[in-house]
Amino acid sequence: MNGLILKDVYSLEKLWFKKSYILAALILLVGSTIWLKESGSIISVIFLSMLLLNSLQTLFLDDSHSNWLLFLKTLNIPLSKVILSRYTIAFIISLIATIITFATALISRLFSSVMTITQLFEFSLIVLVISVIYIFFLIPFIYLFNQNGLIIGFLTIIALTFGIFKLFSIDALTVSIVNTSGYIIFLIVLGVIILDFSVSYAISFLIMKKKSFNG
Amino acid sequence: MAKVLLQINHLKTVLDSFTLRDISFTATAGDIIGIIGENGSGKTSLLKSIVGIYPLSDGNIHLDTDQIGFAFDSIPFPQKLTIKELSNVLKNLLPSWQSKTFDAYVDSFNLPRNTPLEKFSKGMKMQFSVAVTLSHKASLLLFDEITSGLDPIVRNTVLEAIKNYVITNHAAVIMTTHNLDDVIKIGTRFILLDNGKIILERSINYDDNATSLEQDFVQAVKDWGNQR
Repeated sequence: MNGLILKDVYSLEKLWFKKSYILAALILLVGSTIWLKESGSIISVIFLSMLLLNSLQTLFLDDSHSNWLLFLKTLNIPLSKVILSRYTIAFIISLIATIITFATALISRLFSSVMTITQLFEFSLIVLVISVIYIFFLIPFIYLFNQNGLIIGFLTIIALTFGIFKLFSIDALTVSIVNTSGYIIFLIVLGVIILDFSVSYAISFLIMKKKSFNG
Repeated sequence: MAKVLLQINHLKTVLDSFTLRDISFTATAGDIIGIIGENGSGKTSLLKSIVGIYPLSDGNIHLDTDQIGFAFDSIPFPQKLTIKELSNVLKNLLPSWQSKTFDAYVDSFNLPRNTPLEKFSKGMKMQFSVAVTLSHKASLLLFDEITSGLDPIVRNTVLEAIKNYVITNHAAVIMTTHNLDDVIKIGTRFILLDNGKIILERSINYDDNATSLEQDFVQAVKDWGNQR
């Protein structure tokens, strides 16, 4: 599986490490930190993280354009490994997005310290959890709808979010979260991530078994 | 007696607008089988059926090896990556990957290691694809029109590399081609496909040339047309 992950790492490296992209990202982050202070830089870094997360789709498109999956099939590489490697890369991207968020927020503290260090860690952890849940949710959509998967998946997330807010009041949700112990919240979040991964992986496996991997 | 690496019995593959039917043949160690036929006769579909990309509708395929190398008619690798990077990927992907062998092929084909594949010419891409296919100890090699678009010198180099590999590794090759010279040069046998069916199969003789093969093919197609 290392080879599959390495191939994705090389592909992402080519996609991200372009002088113009890095320069634009730096300008965005420095500009928002100086002019908009901490909250502005955090909003910018969240947008940047979304861009990083959504760039996962290019890996899927590359695979389908280059017949990479057919090549793997000729080598008897199990489909389970192929899909698991993609989830691993998705997790790595989420981790990178979180690290960038944390670093940016830490630097912006030098200009205005709205958040304490503990709050900063908590905020980064929330970013990681949301990123992982978001990207795992999206993967089956990209497998199923190719280049339209990201948009369809994203719209589904928005619809689900509205649905949840319609069913439960935000105030009641906030109160119940505040009144729940950190340990319980940790277990619930862990459970949600494991469930999200399991269901997402199983669906992706079934889609690919039926779809391109079988020609 | 040479080891049988592939045995196909009455293979039938039904695709959207095309059917491969009643395909039977064997490939033994040392065989280089040329699959010949017009566009749409089922050459590529046959190769894809052998490796399981297309599911069989009937018949069976017995493979005596799980080491199969498949060179597609277009390279199946991310175009932005370089040979150096892909070599690292394949080393970590395939337990049977032979780095030294691969490096030797890359050198003999004069391929640049640090240039993205997207900047390669068609010929260079095909040479790279052949180098990959010959570098993971495959016993059965399937080549899909790898010599189309190659200049005569490069084509000779590639064909020689394939022939030497078969002799050294006791492997078998099945290659689709439109170029009868390829079959004359390194082939031991050829199969003529027409509309998804084998209409002629025989060994390559020493006195065969492209013209005599072409005459045989035309006659076979006529005979097959009369039978139908």
